[in-house]
Amino acid sequence: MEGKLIAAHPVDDETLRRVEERFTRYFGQSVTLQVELDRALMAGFVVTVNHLRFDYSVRAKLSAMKKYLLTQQS
Amino acid sequence: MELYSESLSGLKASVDKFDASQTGGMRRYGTVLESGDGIVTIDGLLDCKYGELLEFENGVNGIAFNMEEQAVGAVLLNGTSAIREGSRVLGTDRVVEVPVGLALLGRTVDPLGRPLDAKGTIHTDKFRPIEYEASRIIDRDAVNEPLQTGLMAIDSMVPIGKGQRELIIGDRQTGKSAIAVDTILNQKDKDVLCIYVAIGQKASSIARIINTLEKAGALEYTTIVAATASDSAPMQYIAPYAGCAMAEEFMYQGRDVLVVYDDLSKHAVAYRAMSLLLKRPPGREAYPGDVFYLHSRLLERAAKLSQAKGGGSMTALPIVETQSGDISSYIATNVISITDGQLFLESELFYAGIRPAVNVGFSVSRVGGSAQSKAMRKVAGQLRLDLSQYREMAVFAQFSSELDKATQTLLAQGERLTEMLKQPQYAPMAMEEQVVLLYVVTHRLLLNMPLQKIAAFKAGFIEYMHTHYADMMRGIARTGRLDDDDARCIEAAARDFLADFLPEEAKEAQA
Repeated sequence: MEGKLIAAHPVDDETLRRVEERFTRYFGQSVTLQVELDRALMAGFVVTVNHLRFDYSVRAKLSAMKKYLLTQQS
Repeated sequence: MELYSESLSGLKASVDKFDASQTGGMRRYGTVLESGDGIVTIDGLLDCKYGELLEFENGVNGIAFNMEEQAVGAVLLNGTSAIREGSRVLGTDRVVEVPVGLALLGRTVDPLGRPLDAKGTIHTDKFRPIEYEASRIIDRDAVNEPLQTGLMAIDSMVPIGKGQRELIIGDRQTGKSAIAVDTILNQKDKDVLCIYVAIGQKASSIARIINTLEKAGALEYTTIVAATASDSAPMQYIAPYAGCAMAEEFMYQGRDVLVVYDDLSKHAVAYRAMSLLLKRPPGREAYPGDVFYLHSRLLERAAKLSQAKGGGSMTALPIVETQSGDISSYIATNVISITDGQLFLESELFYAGIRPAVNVGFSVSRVGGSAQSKAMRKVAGQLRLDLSQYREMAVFAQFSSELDKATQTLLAQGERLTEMLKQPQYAPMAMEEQVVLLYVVTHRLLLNMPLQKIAAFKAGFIEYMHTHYADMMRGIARTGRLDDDDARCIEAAARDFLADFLPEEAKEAQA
């Protein structure tokens, strides 16, 4: 399976290999990832493969926190 | 500065409570293949649910409506121009939901629950799906409590009960929305929450209604759900369901709610536009085949719940606009067969000065007397009879001098009844006030009153009753009964009042 690894900062080969291995284990099939850069993520990364999106970026966490805080009584 | 550090520590506490480990993780996504006219075709999004809320980039939302083998067809709720081929779409695993709860009261929101007034965020953690199964037969009770509209013509002859669906149908500019707004105004201090759903209306009209409600102090127990004429067809489509979901929350908590759908004709048109763009086969008048189900599933959710389920109720006032009084058109007949009665408003009556322009002959309340207090039932029984006899003879009114005394009396009584039932806008009347006035007129005490003086008589006599018989009025209001003592009081009061109000006529009557 082919997918994308979108990271906030440049990724070295070792990290890329480890991430690919993790997803290979998850899917039970060989996974290769194309690396892309997106500073908007702030930190962390997003992996998209097989119509599934795995968001481990700081931007996602902040967005979730914002949603949560808005539901709290002020 | 004090306030700032206080809210800052509150914020810090909330931030600490937040569990960051639950964020991120896996979500399904798809890619847009085609986009146009507010409809997108998506590749991917495996296991998408029917009616699932979808997230596009830049805060654009959509709903999945066409589940095909290789693709998913979705309608966009907003921001249609931002979506292009190749855009990402995320599934949310949630069928469309809206925020519900007391935080919605006094607010104006769009069909997704986002605030349209400038009163700040809506703080609630409770959400309900807009589509929900109606309550089962076993969970319901018979409709037995009145929902007072404050409009004498309606509360006396076409009474509405809590949990009933009563259709307001008529041509444009016949006072349909006015009846709905007056009913909302009349729910002040009656512990009934109101939701007004505006579908496809001009934003200026909605603004005027909000203004009216606010001035009368009615906004504090009302929520406005607005999908204006400039909102997309899918937004207008979900608006009534969103309003219904908000009402359901209160109903299942044991509260009484009134929901107004203004109007379902525009709702059907929006659904038709959406269905045709989704390439669904057009049926009669190009409406999709499930246009009946569109309204039946909405209106079936209005109910009177049994005590076991909390005893709450949702009363629905759907509005349908007809063209040239044609109530046999497709959508009109559909909704008439779903509701528990209709208020039929006619342009002729409106222009003749009879407002509310209710055609009593064609209007029906299938709940009827069980939704009326005993007092009102007593006085209203004679009313319908008198009016129908008057209508039969009305065509002879121009020959009144050549007719026999009995018919002349009939005509005079009918004219006075008609005049009595007229009511200005934004002036709802309490039940006891209506009972007292109807008692006076149905006992033929106003036969000598000139027609032009009846409006003044109404206002004057009510004030007289509140001043001199306040206890009796309160008694009628509290018990809903009119016993013989009360009846005698009213008659005596009427004669006293008329003696001053119409000195010459009173002397004539006594002679």
